[in-house]
Amino acid sequence: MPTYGGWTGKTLRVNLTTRTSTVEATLDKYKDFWGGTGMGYKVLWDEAKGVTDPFSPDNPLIFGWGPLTGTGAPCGGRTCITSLSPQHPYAAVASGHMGGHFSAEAKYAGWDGIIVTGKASGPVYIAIRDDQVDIVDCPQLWGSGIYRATAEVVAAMGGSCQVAAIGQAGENRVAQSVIMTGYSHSAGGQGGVMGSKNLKAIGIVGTGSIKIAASKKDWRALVDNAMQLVGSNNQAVVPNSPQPWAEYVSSARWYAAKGKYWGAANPPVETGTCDPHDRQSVGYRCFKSDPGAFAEQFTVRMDGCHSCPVRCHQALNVPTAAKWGVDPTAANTCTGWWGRGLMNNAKVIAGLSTQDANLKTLEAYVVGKHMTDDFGLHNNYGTTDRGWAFIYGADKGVTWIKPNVPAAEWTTLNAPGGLFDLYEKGDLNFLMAFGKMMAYQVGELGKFLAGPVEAGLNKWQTGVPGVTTGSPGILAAYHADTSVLWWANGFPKHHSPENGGFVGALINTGYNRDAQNHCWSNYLSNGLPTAVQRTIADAEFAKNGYMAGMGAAIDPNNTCTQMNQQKAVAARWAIARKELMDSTGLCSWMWPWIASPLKERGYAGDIALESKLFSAATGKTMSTKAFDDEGVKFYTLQRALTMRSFNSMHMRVLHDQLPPWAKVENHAGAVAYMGANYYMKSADWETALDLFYAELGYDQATGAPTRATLEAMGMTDVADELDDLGLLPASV
Amino acid sequence: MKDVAEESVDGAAPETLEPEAEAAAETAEAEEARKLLETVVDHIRRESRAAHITSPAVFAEEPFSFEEEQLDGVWDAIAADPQYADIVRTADEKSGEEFLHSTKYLVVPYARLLLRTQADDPVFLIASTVRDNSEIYPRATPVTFFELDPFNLPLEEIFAHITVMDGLEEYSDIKRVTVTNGMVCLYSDRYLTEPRAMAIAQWAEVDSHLNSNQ
Repeated sequence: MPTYGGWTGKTLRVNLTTRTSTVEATLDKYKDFWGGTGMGYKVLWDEAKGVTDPFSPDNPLIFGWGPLTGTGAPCGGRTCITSLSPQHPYAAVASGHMGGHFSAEAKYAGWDGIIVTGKASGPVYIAIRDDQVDIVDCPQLWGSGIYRATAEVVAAMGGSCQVAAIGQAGENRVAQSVIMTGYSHSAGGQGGVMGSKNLKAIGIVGTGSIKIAASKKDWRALVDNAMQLVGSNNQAVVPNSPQPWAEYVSSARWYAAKGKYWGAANPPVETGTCDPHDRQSVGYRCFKSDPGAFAEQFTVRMDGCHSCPVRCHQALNVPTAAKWGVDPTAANTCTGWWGRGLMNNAKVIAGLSTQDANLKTLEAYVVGKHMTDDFGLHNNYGTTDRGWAFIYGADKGVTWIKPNVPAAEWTTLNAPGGLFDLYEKGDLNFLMAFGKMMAYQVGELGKFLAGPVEAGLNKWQTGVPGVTTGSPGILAAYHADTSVLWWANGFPKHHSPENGGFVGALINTGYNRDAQNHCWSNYLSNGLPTAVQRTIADAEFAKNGYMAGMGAAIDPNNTCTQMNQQKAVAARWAIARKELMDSTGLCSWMWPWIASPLKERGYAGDIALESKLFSAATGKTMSTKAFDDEGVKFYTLQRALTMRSFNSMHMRVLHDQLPPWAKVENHAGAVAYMGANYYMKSADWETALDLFYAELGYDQATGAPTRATLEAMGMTDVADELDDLGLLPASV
Repeated sequence: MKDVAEESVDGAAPETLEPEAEAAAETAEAEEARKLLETVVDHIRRESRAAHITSPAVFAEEPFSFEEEQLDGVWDAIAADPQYADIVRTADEKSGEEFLHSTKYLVVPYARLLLRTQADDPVFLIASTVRDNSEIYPRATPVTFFELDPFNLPLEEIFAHITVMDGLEEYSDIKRVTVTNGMVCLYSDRYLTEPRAMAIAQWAEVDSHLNSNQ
């Protein structure tokens, strides 16, 4: 076995049933799957045979990162947590992803991953101090939120400790729950699995370092090169306001500007016009200020993850939020500011002055963040907001069919001080009460909000024999509303056909939750003119061994043109890169960098950067194409796992179908491919699948990988097992 | 310095300098030209760095007070020397008047925006910028775009200018769509159809935020 850099060489396995920990040689067992999701899929394939209950002790929970974690590679703070997912109706495999500093600390402690199996007899946390691993009883923490759990573990282990913990939602096996680190970085969907193992937290203190195969000089040059090409959040490369240095201006996530301040810093800090050649100002670029300019005066700074120059978490101090019983300081990003979806509505702010409405909205951000991050709930890209809208609308007769739940539940919601009452008054105590309803799965409605959504709707549709009658049409009503668009397996619409037409839709076919894939959507949203994006794509992909004319894969956001070969190649590339980011430890919200902010490069980035970093860190030299092929291998193992959970090879029919809202036939008067919408023709979707499967080496009829493909990827064992299960397509 | 080409008052042959003196004079002259060039270039770059464009006319005024012939030499030197490739002229689209700036600090598109801003014709400013955005990206332009620096127009004024624009034939290509959050976006129908403008604007102003990239 050659010695590589990047990896520590050791993977930690903790069996909570036997309260034992063992060490596995990473490169003996997982060398072909690297780390992160790749390692997670491999563990599940080997060890979760026949497991259908995500809360079974036999469902392994894999905390993974990769060989680039802790090396200083930019944007390298990701942790991927993989298991059979409670959010999926068939408990198919899925991963949650969190930033922060947990994975780097774990690497410094000497670990390439942590595999947790079994179930503790009572509440415990795992305390890792380099090689020393202890399983610590913590009955006093069970029932507490993430904040207290994190603080207690840190108090016990020391200030440099990094903690991943669950709240009450995870303890109560809520499907829409998270595992959280650093008080604001959360991995969605796996909290309940951790709770089912009676595992409250993992604390890690690491004092070691990571060996890098390349010389210091070469590594430094590579990182410096990457730092020259980095943009802002989601690799936006164009500022969103006119700036003297910028040839282009856009609506992309490069917010820094003259006169735009972190107003609550002492003294206030002007983000300014950040020339892309100035590395020292990279951290100012992403001043998201999500609620708008009003929030600038309450912004202390931007925060973020290990080894990431782009700070995408906004740290707020909203003193008036304290009146709702929470800490007025809070940090988070996007839907992590959960209050924005639940309380930022016209009903609540009606009658308030603009100033008061803005302030209340911001207070809702802070209260909602503390609610969700302490209970450990998963917003799931607005799924829970939509669930609330569904319940409220159903009772008020706005749009919905009312689900058949005990009348007392509606009475409670409508009583003074009940959720509906608080909501209508704009009382932010609503947020905490709402979180409690979800985290403790209070009543039938609480169970519905806790998810998974599709299971709840199906139950209401058919009723529970002998208990409740069904509510026919409720599923269709939920589907029909444009505010609750979801993908085929019950996860929310998120970077699907609205971001890249066929490419976005194909990316989404493969996964069992929203794909968490930003490789293509980032590029489309980077702010450059479409013509420039196409020119760069033509050159960058051809340079790295891909087919000519890849610019033809690009459709601007919210539009779609006819399917072509380039789009199938782009979709394959994007799913490969998503898996590669997740298996090396890089952030899929930032990487890859097809474009850069540099005019002198024609705004080209370098899609070979990740393979160069990987090669330099590990010493395992790889071309870009070979690197990408590895990503497809990881994805294909995920596909095999999904087939095993579905107990079917017929992925084309059962898994990869386009939702009704994406089909032009379901939109009266709409015309496809004219640049006015992202809808596609059903027949063309079938063509898209044909081309996509061909790129992946999958069987056209079923959408399953063939034996030849699996064997070419070195996964003969997977082919054999699928064959034994009757899940392998017949050889042609 | 005495002009060596000047005739003597008595009609005699002009004085000639010794070769060494002639060389010294040429060196001094070159040095003076170099200083002049550096002064001009430094000023343009400094101003560009501060997000300002420079009228060539300022160099004929205090505190510079350079002669036209001297400046002609400067412009020639800038054009001939690659180290000054960043110094460019951008013309005001309405008057044709040219302004100087360093593209190292202030790029041509931004110079064009500054010129439109200082042209005191907000209707032209809005329409031209909307046309550019429709052609280049392509995209519709939210009215709030013109609240940003360097435009700094109050929203009510923006709408007043749009109303004026509506009555002018020369701007009849400028159209508007209103997306679902009420934002009004402008586009030029020379480059975008209404449905396409609507789709793009809806994404930029509403759907991208609902989709929540993170």
